[in-house]
Amino acid sequence: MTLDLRWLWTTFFFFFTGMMFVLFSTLGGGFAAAWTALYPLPFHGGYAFWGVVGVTIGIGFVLIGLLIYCVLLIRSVSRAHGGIRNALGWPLIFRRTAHQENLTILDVLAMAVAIPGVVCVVAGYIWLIPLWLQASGVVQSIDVLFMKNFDYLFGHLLVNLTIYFAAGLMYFLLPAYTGRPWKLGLAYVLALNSITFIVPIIYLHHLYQDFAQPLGLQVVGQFGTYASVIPVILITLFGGLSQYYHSGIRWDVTTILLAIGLWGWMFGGMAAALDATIAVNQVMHNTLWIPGHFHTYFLLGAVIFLWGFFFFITRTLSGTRDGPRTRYAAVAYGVGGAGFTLVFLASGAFSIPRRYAVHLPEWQAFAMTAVPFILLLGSGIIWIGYTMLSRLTRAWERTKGPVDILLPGGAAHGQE
Amino acid sequence: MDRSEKPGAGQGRGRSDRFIKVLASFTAVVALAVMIFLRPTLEESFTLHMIYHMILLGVLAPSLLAAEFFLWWIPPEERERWSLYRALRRGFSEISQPVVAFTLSTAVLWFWHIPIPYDITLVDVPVHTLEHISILIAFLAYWAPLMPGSRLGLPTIRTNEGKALYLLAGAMQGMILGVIITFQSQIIYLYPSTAHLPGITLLEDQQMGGAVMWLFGAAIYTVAAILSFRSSDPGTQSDASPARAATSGGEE
Repeated sequence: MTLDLRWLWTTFFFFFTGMMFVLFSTLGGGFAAAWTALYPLPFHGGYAFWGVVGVTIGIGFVLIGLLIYCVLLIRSVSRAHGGIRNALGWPLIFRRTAHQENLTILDVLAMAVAIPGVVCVVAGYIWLIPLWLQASGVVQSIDVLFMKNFDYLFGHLLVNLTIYFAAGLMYFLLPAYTGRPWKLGLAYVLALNSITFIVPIIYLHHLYQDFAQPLGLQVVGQFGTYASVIPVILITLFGGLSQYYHSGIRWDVTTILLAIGLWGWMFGGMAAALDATIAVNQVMHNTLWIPGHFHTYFLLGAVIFLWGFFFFITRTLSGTRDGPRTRYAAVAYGVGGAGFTLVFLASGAFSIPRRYAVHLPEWQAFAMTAVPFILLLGSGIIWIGYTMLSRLTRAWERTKGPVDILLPGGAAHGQE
Repeated sequence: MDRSEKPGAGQGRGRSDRFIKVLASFTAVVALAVMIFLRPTLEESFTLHMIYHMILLGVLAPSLLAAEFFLWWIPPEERERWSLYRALRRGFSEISQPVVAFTLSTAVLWFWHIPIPYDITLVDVPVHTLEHISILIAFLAYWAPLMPGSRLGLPTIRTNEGKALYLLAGAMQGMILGVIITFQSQIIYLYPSTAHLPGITLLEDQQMGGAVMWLFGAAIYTVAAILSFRSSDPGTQSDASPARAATSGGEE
């Protein structure tokens, strides 16, 4: 299946431009609240007015890019498999067919992630439009809880889907290394389909402190979060580990990074599920535990999957080989990142608050402990980044038209 | 055009091309009309002045190119007989090489938004006219490489990645200039006028003008991107190959 290049480039353009809006608004307009800018903070946070407008327009651009990408995915995958239901693997669930021709785990994942992606875009615009109306003076105020719900529905969903998109890279790469196809069975289809329905509701665990919210929604938030862990454990952890187990895989930068990604997503996800327990949340939610958990599953989850993929693609396309010591860069990234995020979580466990304007002297010991890990992480990133950049020109030049990045021997012979 | 591919395809494409050129001519006329309407207000409001600039560089310039300067109804061979046309086309061909065009358009736009030259344009009509003509020429050169269907015979960028890089570079320079103006905390344009849009201060007028350049500018480049990118063509690999030269480097 080939996605239309025109719309992929258009998506890229929207994302890039949107991110530049956010960057310029943050650096120029001093807008420091990101997407978690709870209403009415954007208008009362002391930010430059055009900084608020710029960042919201930037988010609007990113959302249009996401919409184009998700619609492109849904359209392409469903056409290739004769409809949305087939693309979601429903015949495997409802007709109990043993096998569905040509349907892969990546197809179902793409559908399962792209559908809530559209929900994310709609929620994002339901949040953005009232902000623009107030910025232009058409309305004077908006319901605060309404805004928080849609802000988190869009933002939390986008964050979650990013990780699932990135995990798709692992589902793509590991079978190429191990030679074991990632077979699509009933359990996987059920797990992937559950992503579509569960991930949009788990944002509710961020609203436990909003006591005006109906109790039912709080309960949905708690159980939804627990339920969301099941597909992650089933597909990513069991599936990933069974790919590694006794496969004779050769450890290079990509496979090390993907393995760390498995750990990071699991560990960060467990920290999130723990915080989503209402009783724990009452104590932990305003501590550094929260930035700790999302740093874990981003730095050591989504982002590390991306690093692994880009490292693989630049190496394969450039036809170069890794030096024997390059894998230490991945180890440095993993050890540094794990140390850094564990200190973050430990800080939260010791009730060090987040979002304080000052960091008191008695909290400094944790921050100081994290410094060597951050230096190690930074050196790993620089090493990996430099290696990839040095291969980029050659990789670009060797690309002739549409290419299969799983070139014969690319995965198996790319290292020494 | 390969007429052997599909019977009637050439006719259909011809009609579509004509429609685009008529639409572009209409857009250019409307843009000119709006600019004539705005012209008397330019000394009074920085915001209106920036809207004028955006229409000039982002609507009028590409529309004129797409409409082949309203000469689309004259066959290119006929036009080539005119020595003035040939000379202009050759000269324009030089400045619309992508790197030259991007550098020229950036330099011209940034120069005229330096406070001193900008303030001079508001008190000196010939300088003001020169400002607008130079912006128009610079952006005609900028947009030309993105018009592969044009019969003007100018250098064009053929690959999607080339177009993306070129458009992002153009968008970024305009956005950065707009951002710099938007987030100024004091008045930087000291032109001898206190008139501005009612209900807002001079500083707010200046900030809004910068925002127009930043926000509308990005919108213009985004529309251009949507119109410029092409789908993959497995038969030719024309748009899918990053290894191909970013520009054709020649005339069509």
